[in-house]
Amino acid sequence: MYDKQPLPRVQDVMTRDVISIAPDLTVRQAKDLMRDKGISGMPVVDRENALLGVISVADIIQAMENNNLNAFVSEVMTVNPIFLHEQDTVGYALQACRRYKYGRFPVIDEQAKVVGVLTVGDIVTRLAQLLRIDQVDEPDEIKEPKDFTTRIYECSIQSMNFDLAGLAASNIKKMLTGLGLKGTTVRRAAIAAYDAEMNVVIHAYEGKLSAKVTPHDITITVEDSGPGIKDVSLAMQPGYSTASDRIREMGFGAGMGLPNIKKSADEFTIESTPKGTTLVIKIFID
Amino acid sequence: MTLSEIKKVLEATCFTRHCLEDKEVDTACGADLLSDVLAHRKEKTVLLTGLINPQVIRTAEIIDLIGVIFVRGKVPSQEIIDLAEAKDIPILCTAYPMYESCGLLYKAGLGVISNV
Repeated sequence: MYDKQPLPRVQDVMTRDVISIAPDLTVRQAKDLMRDKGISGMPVVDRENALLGVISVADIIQAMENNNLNAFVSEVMTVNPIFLHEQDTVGYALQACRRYKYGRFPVIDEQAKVVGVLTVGDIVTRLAQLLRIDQVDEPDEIKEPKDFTTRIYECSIQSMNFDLAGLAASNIKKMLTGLGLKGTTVRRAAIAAYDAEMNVVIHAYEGKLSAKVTPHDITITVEDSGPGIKDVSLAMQPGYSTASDRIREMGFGAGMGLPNIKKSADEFTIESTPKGTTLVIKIFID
Repeated sequence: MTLSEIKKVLEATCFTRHCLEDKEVDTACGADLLSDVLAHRKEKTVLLTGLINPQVIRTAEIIDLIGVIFVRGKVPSQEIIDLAEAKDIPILCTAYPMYESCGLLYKAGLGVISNV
């Protein structure tokens, strides 16, 4: 496994100092508490601190409109709220933020007790810290660009090393996603990089993958040190494969690698001699 | 169709902590060859496969699959489960073989979307 550091979990990021309210207090009391604490929502919990619901400014405004400030919190709260587990990854929490369009989630432990609240702000603050730590512990292979608009990534590829196979493509995907490129563009680049990377792992002695990203295009260059492709035009035919049975057992060798790369690319060149093969894959960014 | 409906149709078991079961799925891809999977260009896809190794999860990550369904009662190793959890890719396992799994999902309304 190449992930040296564990993924940040919700419990690493959340606010533990939870302001919550009991269901049998009134909406007026909830309103005063939220105003006092300067918060826009909070979990509703029972005496055992188990999650019953959430109450937000929107619920309170609605109660005010209905002249219902003396109602119990339990009458106006949102029941069955979306919550997170403390063991959830921050990535999962971000997905939840996007999916449900909420800015705040109660966090529960294994006994379904509320142990924290997670806001988008918590994630941003703590992730900034975590990322800085990452850079110290695990030097990123992305070089600091001279020109801030260009990114370069390089990675060596080892023959028959299936533990690391896919790492370069995965890193390129992360980098492109981080630059905010369109999903379809990222995917095309990731697929082309992955197929090219697997070709080196399966067929070559060793190789190098580099990716250069400018605001206009992505150029992925994959070079290996041989033994080369005997008949390139044959290798470009869908379904043609020289992979061994062992490789096929692992799910590769469908003979779709090069055709796939060509399909993903806007421009594609391949040169092969017994000393090595070089692929240049270009994808335009619109 | 959602992942939880797929789970029901295939009487599947979820092997990852997050199943994101309300995730919308538009179509499926049934393949045992990863290059075939990589050639599949549709969004919101689940993969049905009898192939069981970590590269399946790596491939799923590269093309943003919604989930991976291992067919024919095959059970993933802890290494595969760990990788899937790290990449937030749900894993379902069903006892149905590939042909039946695909047929059941197709019959339940998970069709093929036309190529864009």
